[in-house]
Amino acid sequence: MKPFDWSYTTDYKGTITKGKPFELEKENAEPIPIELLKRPDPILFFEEVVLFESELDDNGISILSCKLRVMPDRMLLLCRQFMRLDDVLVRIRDTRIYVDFNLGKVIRDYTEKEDGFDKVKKVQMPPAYFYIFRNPCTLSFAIEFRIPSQVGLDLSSFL
Amino acid sequence: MSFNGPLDENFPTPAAADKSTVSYVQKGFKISARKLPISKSEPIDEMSKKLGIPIPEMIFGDNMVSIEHLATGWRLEFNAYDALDRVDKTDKNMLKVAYSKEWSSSRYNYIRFNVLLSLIL
Repeated sequence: MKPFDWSYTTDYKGTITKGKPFELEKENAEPIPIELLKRPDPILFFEEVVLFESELDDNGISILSCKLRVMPDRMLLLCRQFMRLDDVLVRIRDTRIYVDFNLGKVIRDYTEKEDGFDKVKKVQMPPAYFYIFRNPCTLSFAIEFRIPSQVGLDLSSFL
Repeated sequence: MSFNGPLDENFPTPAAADKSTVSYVQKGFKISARKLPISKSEPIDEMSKKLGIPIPEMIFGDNMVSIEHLATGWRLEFNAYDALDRVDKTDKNMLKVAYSKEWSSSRYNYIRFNVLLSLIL
């Protein structure tokens, strides 16, 4: 068999099936407005969809899934890959798509996080250990940005 | 035998794909999500052949989420095939040697642990 990355690590940021691609904006690059997303706006639509999952021959997990929530004026989609190779390393790759419906603006943000298994383990309290290692949402805060956060600057505007 | 008639074993047919897609339109954007069961062996083999790598054990080849801008038709989709197509198919980005060393030692410990366990039990 030909060698390949058996951890199924991917830098997938979505597929544009029609229309213009995202453009890298070097100036005036806007980050995703986190504060607006923290507001307790009603959630009109929520979905979670798994795309693939592997247990890496019982040595960990590699999962790719998408979650999205739609609010009256904006939406957020998170496509997250969580890869844990037991006793070796933990890796998270996040693509976030933010849409401002009123401005017709779409922002894409891509982040890579990675750290050694032992380091992540140290950050966490031992009793929650098992739970945390099964839950990327909790783990995400424990992982250092070993690979510098590549904040995506792609913007595409419709207006 | 099932209470609600025969199971639809042949899906995803286009109709089944439509049926499994939920959408929501908000201010000119259509947001959709499609959830179907794990792919069957035939589509898996086909996908593996096209991608040139083995496919993860659990592959939801027909699942997707999408965002569409109704006025311009602009559409962004997330699906398993395209994601796997971005997995490195060479040994260029294989996990580093240090990691694989750690890994082989952890694998050794794992085997040792299991041997011990089987002795205890």
